[in-house]
Amino acid sequence: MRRTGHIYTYWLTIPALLLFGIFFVGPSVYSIYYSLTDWVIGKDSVSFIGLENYRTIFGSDELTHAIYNTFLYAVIVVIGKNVNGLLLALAVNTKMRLQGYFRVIFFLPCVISTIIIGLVFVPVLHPNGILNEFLGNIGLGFLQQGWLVDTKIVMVSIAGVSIWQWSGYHMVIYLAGLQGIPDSYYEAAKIDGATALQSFFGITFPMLAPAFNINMLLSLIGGLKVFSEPYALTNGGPGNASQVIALEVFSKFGRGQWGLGTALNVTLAIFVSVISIPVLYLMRKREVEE
Amino acid sequence: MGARRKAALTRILLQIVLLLISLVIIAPLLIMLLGAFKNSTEVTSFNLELPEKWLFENFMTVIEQGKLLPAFWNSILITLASTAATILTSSLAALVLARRNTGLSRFLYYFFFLGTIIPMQIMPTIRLFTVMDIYGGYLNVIILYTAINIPFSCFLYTGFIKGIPKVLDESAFIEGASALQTYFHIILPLLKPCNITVLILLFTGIWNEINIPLYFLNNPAKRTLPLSVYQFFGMYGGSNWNLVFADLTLAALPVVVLFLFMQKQFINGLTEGAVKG
Amino acid sequence: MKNKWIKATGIILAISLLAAGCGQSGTANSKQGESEANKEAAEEESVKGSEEKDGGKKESVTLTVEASQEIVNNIPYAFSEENIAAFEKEYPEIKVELVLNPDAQNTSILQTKLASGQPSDLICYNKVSAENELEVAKNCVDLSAEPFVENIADKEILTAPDGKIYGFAFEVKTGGMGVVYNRDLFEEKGLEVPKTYDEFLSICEKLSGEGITPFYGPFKDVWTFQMWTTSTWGYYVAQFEPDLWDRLNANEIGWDEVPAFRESLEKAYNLYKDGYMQSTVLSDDYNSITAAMGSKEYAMTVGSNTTVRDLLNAHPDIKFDMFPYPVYEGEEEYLTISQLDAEFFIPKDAKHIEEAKTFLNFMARPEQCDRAQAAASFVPNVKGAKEPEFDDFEGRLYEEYNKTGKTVLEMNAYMKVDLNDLWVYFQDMFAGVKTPEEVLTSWDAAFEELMKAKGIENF
Repeated sequence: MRRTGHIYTYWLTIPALLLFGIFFVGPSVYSIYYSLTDWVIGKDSVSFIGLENYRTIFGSDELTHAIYNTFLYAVIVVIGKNVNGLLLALAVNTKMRLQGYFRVIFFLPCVISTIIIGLVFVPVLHPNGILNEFLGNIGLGFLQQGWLVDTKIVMVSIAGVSIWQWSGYHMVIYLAGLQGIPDSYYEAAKIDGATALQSFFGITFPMLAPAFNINMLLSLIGGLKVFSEPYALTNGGPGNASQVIALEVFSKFGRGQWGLGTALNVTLAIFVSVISIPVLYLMRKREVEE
Repeated sequence: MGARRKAALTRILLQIVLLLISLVIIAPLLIMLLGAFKNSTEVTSFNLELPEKWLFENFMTVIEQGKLLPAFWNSILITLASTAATILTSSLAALVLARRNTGLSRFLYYFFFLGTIIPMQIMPTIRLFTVMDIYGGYLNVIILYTAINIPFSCFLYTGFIKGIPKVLDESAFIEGASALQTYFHIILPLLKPCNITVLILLFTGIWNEINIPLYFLNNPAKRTLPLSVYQFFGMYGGSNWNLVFADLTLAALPVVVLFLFMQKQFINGLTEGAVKG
Repeated sequence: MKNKWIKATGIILAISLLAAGCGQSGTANSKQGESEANKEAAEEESVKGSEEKDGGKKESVTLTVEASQEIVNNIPYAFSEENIAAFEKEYPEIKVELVLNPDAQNTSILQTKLASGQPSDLICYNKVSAENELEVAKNCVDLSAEPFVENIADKEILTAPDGKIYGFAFEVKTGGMGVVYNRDLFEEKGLEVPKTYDEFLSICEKLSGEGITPFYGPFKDVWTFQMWTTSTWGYYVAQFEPDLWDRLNANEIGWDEVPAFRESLEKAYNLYKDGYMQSTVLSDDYNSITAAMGSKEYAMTVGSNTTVRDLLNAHPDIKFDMFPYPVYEGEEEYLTISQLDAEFFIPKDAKHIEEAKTFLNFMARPEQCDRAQAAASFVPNVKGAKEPEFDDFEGRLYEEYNKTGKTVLEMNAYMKVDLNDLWVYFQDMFAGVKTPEEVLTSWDAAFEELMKAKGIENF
């Protein structure tokens, strides 16, 4: 009755692999082929055109602008969500009466659909909306903006709404990191006469690295794949000022330009992979070394 | 002398700052919630004033006009079934990914991770379901949600299982338990906090998703609750924001209630799974 | 041996739990079994579904009719509940279900379903747009030989460019687009409906002087400002250069080479720049018209018959009306007629083509047209159907413009490609990113690309 092989046979992965492989990866791989064709609605034959669609993407002002917007947005949300998330986590990690309340409230927006959040923020961010009114009332009238119509700041506003919604999510992950740091470390530092700031950079910051990595990864992937936020807030407007890649994919599909839309989708997947897989690899590598 | 008082003072100040921040978080949600009770003129000021009269009938109107009750049950069915299938399949897979350290397991880990990166392709997926003759019903939506959500759940479970000492399951195994027995008797009970986390993330994610039902359900009687958001915004986005808000509130309510009930275990679980991933 | 056991149980367990999740239980132990179980589950489910609805009748057919939210709201007579009930009464084995899509996704969903061979049984869409965006000639059933065609009063307007009839629409299009205005406010201020651009400007000046913003621009939606251009450009071409659409579609002339197009754009932009429109044009969407025009802070806006009707319903105490865009100097103004909307098509891949034909043949009878008048008045395109009883404003527009032939067809009805890019450039104009001239040069380039992608000659 001696067993052969490992206890955890690879067969256990089969249900997940089958479902994921057949219904998700399969169609995606299939679509790579379409990204190399001139597939549009109404054409009787689909012909292979090589990299022509990709040339179109990088040759088009509109689409390169959407790519630029996507990266701009990703950078803003990665910084915003992580800084906010970390600060909130540090604050909420202090023992205080309302600790539980804060954690719940800060996380609350994450469970609500982005479409709903978007519909609520549209009137809030209207030039005559409550945000500008509030700024005027507290004497910060100079900060009033056409949040979603000024082509120069519209991406920042959209990122702002997303930071508003998701900071709590990242807070929770940082919170976990913080709670994993043994108190004895701080006590030892205190005995050595370290200041609060010194122990933050000496202990907290390095010990938070795993939480930091995962937060970077999640916010980066989410930032690059962004769709719902601009879709609900501006639908890419005014004009093309807040177009992002995923939204362009959607509108290309909506106009029957399937070949081009698929190519754009593949481009997005490549961007996200090239950026996030190395991050994940480094994370895993360091973990093994530990 | 001063040190302790200073610390107490800082703490009070900190709480005040956090209270202000929580107001910023809650204000837009309150605009929605209060707006749902207002009349159609009052609501257009989009502010935090209390309604002159609390109009509970807005909710009744929305439920009747939007046929929200059947939509609610559709959402529950689709969300629960997909969540259950995802949790089961991905935790089983994660067991292997977490416990084995071979080239194949690492490959599988990255393979699943790809799923969080690459976007879904609607058209080939519809064709696939058509060939299998399951397009248009609940089943194809449930399968699709499961397939899409397996990667991230796997990611969380793998991290969490790594945190469970190997001795526990190895000793069970030495006593003659099979992998599945070990899974059900040892691992699954230990996974409870993580299960709750994944459950909430999946439940909210699937509940809030609106594109897949639009493309993959061909019978309006099967449509889900959040789709009514579009319907009401299209119909009343100009004239009756109170009804739009009532609908938004109703669409968000189930996930908010679920979260509030399970928030403690949820936040604990998320942290452990994610950080160790 | 034990190993194999584990494998098998693992798979069975996962699959059966998956199936159990859908309220079914299945036993399967191989890959093939899996798909069979799925199939079975799906069938059981659909049977169960129809049983619930039809009280146990097994042979019943559910006929799906797919349309956007917008079209159902705007063209209520095409979806008259009484008509559908009457149909279900006459054909008890057929049940009609409406599938409504969000406006912004409607085209994409319809195209996706058509391309993947899973369309609804009937699609309701605007005629010219359907020919271009849904490729009706390729994707839909030719209905030219159906009995209902004999009932049609004016076959011409249902006929596609290839000479065939692919669908049925209730109406002979009479509704148009123009400047929607608050008639009470005009009367109160002693203003007359402007006949020329100069008169229009002097009205704006006067209103503005009294603290009223003359023109409300709801241009957050990309499709709203184009009502101005499709009307004014359509008017210009019909009046002065009747072959211009053909020449543009044959690449004989560029969009930036038509000064009249630029003139119309500049006039609109100047209204905004001179403060005759609210400063928040790009923040306000079409839906916000109701509140804005009811507030009496605004006097005019863009819109159609539907806009006026909705405003009258929302504010029964105010009179709203419509007049043609007085953009080109000193010319007699014609009302713009929109392309035929709400035409019903049957996709070739529909599951119930025969039942769908039955549905259209039923709808194209005079009784149904007469019954649908209750939902909203329209001029029926069916022989023997009653003339509509228009209310105040529609009756006047009908007498004044339709009956005297003072109408022109909108520009969009002549287009072969999607115009979304052009509409986006209009927003750029109001955002100050493009000048009216740049709008036309950019569109000329985009137009060429789109026509080329469509495989149209000369591009």
